[in-house]
Amino acid sequence: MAEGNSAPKSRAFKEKEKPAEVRSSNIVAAKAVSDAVRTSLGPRGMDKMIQSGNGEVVITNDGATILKQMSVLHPAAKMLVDLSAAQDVEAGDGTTSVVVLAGSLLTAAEKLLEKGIHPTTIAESFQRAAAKSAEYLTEMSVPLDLNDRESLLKSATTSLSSKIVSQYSSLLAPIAVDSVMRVIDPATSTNVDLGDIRLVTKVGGTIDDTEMVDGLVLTQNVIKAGGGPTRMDRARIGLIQFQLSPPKPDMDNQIVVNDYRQMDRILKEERAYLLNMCKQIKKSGCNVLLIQKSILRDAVNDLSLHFLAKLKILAIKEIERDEVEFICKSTGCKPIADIESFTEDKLGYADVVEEVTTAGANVVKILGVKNAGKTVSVLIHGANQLVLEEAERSLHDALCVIRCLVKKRALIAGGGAPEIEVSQRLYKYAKTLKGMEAYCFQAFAEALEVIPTTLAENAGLNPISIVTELRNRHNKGEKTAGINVRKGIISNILDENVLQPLLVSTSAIELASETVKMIMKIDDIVAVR
Amino acid sequence: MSGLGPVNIFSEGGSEERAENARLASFVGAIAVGDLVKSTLGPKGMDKVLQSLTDGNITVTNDGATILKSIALDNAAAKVLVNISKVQDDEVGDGTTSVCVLAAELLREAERLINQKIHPQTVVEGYRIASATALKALEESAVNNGTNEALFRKDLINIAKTTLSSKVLSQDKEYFANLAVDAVLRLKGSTSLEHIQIIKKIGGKLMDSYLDEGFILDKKIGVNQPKRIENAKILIANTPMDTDKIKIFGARVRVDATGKLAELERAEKDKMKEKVEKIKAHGINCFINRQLIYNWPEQLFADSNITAIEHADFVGIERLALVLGGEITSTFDHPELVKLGSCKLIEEIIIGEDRLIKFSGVAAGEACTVVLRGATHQLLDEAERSLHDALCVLSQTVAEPRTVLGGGCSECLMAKAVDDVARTTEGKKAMAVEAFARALRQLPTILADNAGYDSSDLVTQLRARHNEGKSSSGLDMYNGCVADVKELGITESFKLKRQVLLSASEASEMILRVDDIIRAAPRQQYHVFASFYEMDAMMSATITASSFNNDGPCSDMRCSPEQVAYDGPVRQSYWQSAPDPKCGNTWLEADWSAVGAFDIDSFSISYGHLGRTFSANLVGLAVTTAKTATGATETRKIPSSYLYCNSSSSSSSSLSSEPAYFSAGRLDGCMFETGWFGDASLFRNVVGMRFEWTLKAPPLQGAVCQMNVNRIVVRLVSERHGGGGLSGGAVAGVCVAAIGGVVVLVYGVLFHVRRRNLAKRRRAGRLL
Repeated sequence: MAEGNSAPKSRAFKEKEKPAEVRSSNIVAAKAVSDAVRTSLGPRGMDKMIQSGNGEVVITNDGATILKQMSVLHPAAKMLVDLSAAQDVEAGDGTTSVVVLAGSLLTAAEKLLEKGIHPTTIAESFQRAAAKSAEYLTEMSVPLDLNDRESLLKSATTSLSSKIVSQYSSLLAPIAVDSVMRVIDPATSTNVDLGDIRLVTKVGGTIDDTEMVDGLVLTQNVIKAGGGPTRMDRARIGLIQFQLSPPKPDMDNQIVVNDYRQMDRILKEERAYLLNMCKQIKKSGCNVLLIQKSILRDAVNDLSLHFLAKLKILAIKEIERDEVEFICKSTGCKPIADIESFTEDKLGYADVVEEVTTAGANVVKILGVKNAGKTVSVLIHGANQLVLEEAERSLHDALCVIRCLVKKRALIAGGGAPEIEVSQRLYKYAKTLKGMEAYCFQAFAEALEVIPTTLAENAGLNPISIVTELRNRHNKGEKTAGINVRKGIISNILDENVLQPLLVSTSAIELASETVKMIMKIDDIVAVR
Repeated sequence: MSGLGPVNIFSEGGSEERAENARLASFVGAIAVGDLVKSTLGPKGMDKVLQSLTDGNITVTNDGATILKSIALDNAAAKVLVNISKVQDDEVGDGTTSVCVLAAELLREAERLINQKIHPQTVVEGYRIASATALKALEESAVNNGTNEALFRKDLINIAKTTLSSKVLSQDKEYFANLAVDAVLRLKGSTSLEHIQIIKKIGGKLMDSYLDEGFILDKKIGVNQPKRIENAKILIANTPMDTDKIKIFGARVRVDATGKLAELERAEKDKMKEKVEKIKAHGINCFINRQLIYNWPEQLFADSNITAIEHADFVGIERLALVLGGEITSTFDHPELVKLGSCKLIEEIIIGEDRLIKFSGVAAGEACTVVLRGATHQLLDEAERSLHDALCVLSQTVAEPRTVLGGGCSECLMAKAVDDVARTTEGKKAMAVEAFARALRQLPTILADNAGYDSSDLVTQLRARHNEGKSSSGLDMYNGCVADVKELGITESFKLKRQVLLSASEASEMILRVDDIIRAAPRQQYHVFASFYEMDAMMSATITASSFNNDGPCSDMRCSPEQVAYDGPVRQSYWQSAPDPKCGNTWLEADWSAVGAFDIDSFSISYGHLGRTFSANLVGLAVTTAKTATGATETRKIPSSYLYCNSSSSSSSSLSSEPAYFSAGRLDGCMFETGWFGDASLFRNVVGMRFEWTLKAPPLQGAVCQMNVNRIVVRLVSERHGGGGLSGGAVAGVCVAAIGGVVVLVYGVLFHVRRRNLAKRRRAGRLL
C-alpha cells in the first residue's frame, strides 16, 4: 500500500510544474491586455489609435472598443476581451475599469500563488470578497429619484468626462438624459431598450451641432432626380415594401417581342402600370413616400419618379428592412407590402417632413409627429469620421449610464472614492477572518486600489502620495473623498459633481472576479482540432 | 527472424504490435488519458483550456467528456477510454472524468502485476471478483429515499450540489442546485431533458441566472403585430412564406406584354394572400413559421391582428411544437385536422440588450427555460455544460432514486469490501483483487491531491476510519480533513457510481485482454483532377439551392444552376444563394441519384461570402444517403464536431492547387473525412448531399447575407454502384459583381476525385 501511494504521488508532484507554467502564462497575457488599456482610464486618460488589418483607423478611449479591435490570440487575453464586452452589455460604461481591475486582481493572485495558496482557494475567496464589496458599495450608495434631473446629468457628465468629447459634456449629457427619459416611463420602467433611441451620425460641422430631434431623422436623402418636392407640410407618410418599377414576378420570365408594334405596346403598358400605382398612392392622400430597399429590383425608376414629382409626392428610397420597425414606431405608419392595400389608415402624420442641411450634411427630418411612439432620434455631427464614431460611442456610454440608473436607482461617488472605501472596509473585514481567506481578502482589497492609482497616474499625479492620502482621509471617515483630477487634489468628490451609477461599479467588480476565477482554475491548455 | 529477411504479411503501411509491445502501448495510452483528465476531478479540480488549432476558438471546461471528445488521439486503448467517457455522458451525464480515471488506475495496477509475471487473464479474473464484490458493497450502502418527498428533494439538492461543486458553478451551487432540482421535478419523472431549454446571454453575473416557467424563443415579433397575446392559439408551420414557386428547374413564363407580367405578379400575391387566408381560417392569433415570412404576408397577418414569428430555427420549432402541444404543419387545407398549440400568454421580454419572446402557461406543464447570464462566452458555455450535467444526473436519480455517499466515501467502502474478499481468496488472483482495492482508493487520493492536501495522510486516515466501522467517513475538501460526509450532505447518485464502476472495470478488462494491435494500411488515395468530358456525369447531378436570383443568362455573372456554362478553358460555374436580407438559412443540395449511389471518402466544401468570416459553428451539413437494400432515403447529419472547418485567407487555402483563381478573396471551408474524424458509415451509398448554412452575423449596413459556394470536392472510395463516369471536375474563375453597392465575390465549382481503382488510376494518369 505504501508503495502504491508513493509512486503516483511523486508523479503527481512532477506534473505540478506544467499547471504553474500555464497559470503564469495566462496571468502574463491577461495582464498585458489590461496594461494596454490602462492608460485610457479616467478623465485624463489617453486615447488609442488602432489600425486594423485593412488599414482602417479607429481612435477611441472606450475599453470595449479598443479590445474588440485588438486581435488577441492568447486564450486568457481573449477572455478579458469578452469580459469587457460583457460589461458593455450589462452596464455600458466602465469597460476599461473592469479590465484594469481584472488585471490587478490577477497580479494579486500571482503573489498569493507564490505564497503557496491553492488556486481554487484564491478564486473562491476572491468571489466572496467581490460579493462583500458589492454589499459595501450598495450600503454606500445614495438612492436616486428618476425625476432628479440634476443627479442624472451629473452621472452622464462623469461618464463623458473621460472621452474625447468631454468638453461637450454640457451639451451631450442633457441629450442623453432627455432621450432616455423620453422613451421610458420614469415611474414604472426597470429597463430601457436603447433600440428606441436612434443615433444618426453625419460628417460635417462640429459636435456642437449635435441635437436631439423630437421626431425622426433619416440619413437617406430625398430623391430629387424627378424634380419632386423636398419639403412637405402636413405630411402623410406611407412606408411601402413594394417597388415602383416594372413588374417582376418571382417566377422566371421572358417577354417575347414579335414586332415593333408590340414593343410600343410594352412601353405604353409599363407607363400605365406605373402611373396607376402612383395615382393610387396619391388617392390615399399620401404625400411622403418611404420606400424599402430591395435587392432584387430597383426601388424606383425614372418614370415613376417623374410621376411622383408630378403628383407632388416626396419620395425617399433605400430604407433598410431593420429600420422599418423603428420608423413605424416613430411615425405611427404601418408598412404596406402591396399596392392594393395602400389605404389611408396605414399612413402616419407629421407636421413637416423636410430635407435640411445642417452643418454641411443633408438629412431628412420628420417633425411634429402625431401619435408618435416612445422613440427619439439624436443627430450627431462631427468634423471627421473618427471623431464622429467616438462621439457616438461616448454618447452610447452616457445613455447606458442613464439606463443603469433606471435599472438600479442608486448612485455612488466617482473619482476612486468608492474603491478606496471598499478597500478600507475589506481590510477591516479581513482582520476578522482567519486562514488563507484572510490573506486573499487583503490582497483583494489592495487590488481594488488600482483604480485610484491609475486615475492618479493618468492625471500625472503622484499615485503613491495620492493613494496614501486617500486612505488617510477615508480612515478619518470622509467616505466621499476622491481624486479631483482637474485640480489635482483630493477633495469631497460629491462637491465636484462626479457621480456614477452603482450598477457600473458592482458589475465591474463582480464580472472581473468571475473571470479571474475562471483564469485561476485553468491548469492546462490542450490543443484540439 | 535473424536469418531471414523481414517477411511482409501486411500490405504497405500496415503494421502489427505484439504481446509486450501491444500491452505497453495500451497501458501508456490509457494511463496518459487518465492523467490528462485527473486534475479536473473533485471540488478543487482544475479546468482545461481547449484551444482549437484551426480557428483559435477556446473552450474552458472541467467536463471530462468534453475534453476527451475534443483531443485528437491515435492510440487504441486511449480511444476505448474516450468511448467509456462518452457512454457515461450519454447514460448518466456526469462522472465522465471519474470513469476514465478509475479505468486508468486499474490499468496502472494491472501493469504492475503483469511486470511481476502474473498472467493478464489471472488479473482479469481477480478484477472480476473484485468488481462484483465492490458492486455488492455499493448496493448495500445505497439509500432509497424515493418514497419520502421531503427527504428525496433534500437528496436531489445534495446530489446537484455535489455535481456542481466540481464545476464552474461551485460558488453559487446552492442557488443552481435548487434551480436544477426545480427544473427536473417539473419533468415529473421523465428523463427527457428536451423540455428544459437553456438560453445563454452574455452580461450580468452567474447569480442573475434564473428559471422561468414556459418557453423563451430568441426571435422577434413582426412589425405592427400584437406584442402581447393572452390565451394564444398558435399554429406552428414549416412552409415557404415568400412565394409558392414552381420548383422545376427551367420552368419559366413567356409573356408578350408588361401587363401580363403585372398580372402574373398580382397572381403570385393573390396566391400568397389565399394561403394567409387559409392559415387565418385556423382561428389562430399567433403564427410561427420555420421559414422566412416576407413583407407581404407579414402585413396581411398584421392587418388581421395575428402575431407572426418568422424563421424559428429547426430545433426551436420542434421544441415549440412539443411544449405548446401543437403539430408542425405544412398544408393548410384542413383546419379541423390540425392540432393547434396554445399558451396563456405570449409577451416580449428583454434579457441583457436583446428582446426575446416568452411563452408562458404552456400546454406541456413540464417545460421550463433556464436563462444563464455570465461574463464571458467561455463561462456561459461551461455553465451550460455544468448545468446540463446536473440536470442529467438529477433526472436519472428521479428514475432510480437510490443514492450513495460521495467525497471518496463510497470508493473507500468498496475498497474495504474488496480487501476483505482478497484475504479469503486463494491464488495469484488475490493479488489482482488487492490491486483493484488500491485503484479504488486512488480516487480519494486524487481528490486530495487536486486540492493540495497531503493525500497519503488523508487517505490512510480515511481507510482507518472505515475499518473502525465508520462507513460514512469521507473527505471534506473545504477543510482538508476526514469527516462524516453524510452530515456534510455530499451525496451522489447510485446509478452514476455503479456505471463508473462497471464501465471502468469492463474497459480495463477489455484492454488487458489485448495482446496484439494490428493497424490496417491507410487507404491509398490518388489525386485525379477529372477531365473535362467527365464533367458531364457530374452535371447529371441536379443542384438546387435555396432559390436563386434568376437574372437571365450568365451576363451579370449570377447564374442559376441549370445555366452553368462551360466554354473553353475559362469555365465559370458556381452556386450562389439568393441574397437574404435577414441572414437566414441558405442551403445547397446536390442530387446524384440519377447516377446511382456511391461511397465517399471525404468531401470538402469551400465558400465565401460578403467578406465575413465563417466559423465551424455557423455551418451545419446534412447528407442524404440511400440504402440500396430498401431504396429508402434517410438523412444523416454530420455532427459539427466531426467537421473540420477553417476560415483562411486565399494564400493558405488547403484545398486549392490553383490559388490564382481564389486570390481575390477569402476562402472559408469545411471538410469531413470518414476515416479521420468521424463515422465511416455516414458516407456509404450516398446519392446526394445537402449543405446548410446558418449565417449568424447580422448584416453590415447596406449588406445582405449571401452564400457563395466556390466548390465542392468529393473523394470517392470506389464506384460500386455504377458511378462509372462520376468523376468530373471543372474549375472556374473569379467573378466580381456589384449588386446594390455590395461587392460579391463568387468562385467556381470544382469536383475532383480520388480513387483507388487501379484501372481508373491508369486512365486518369493518361488524361493528366
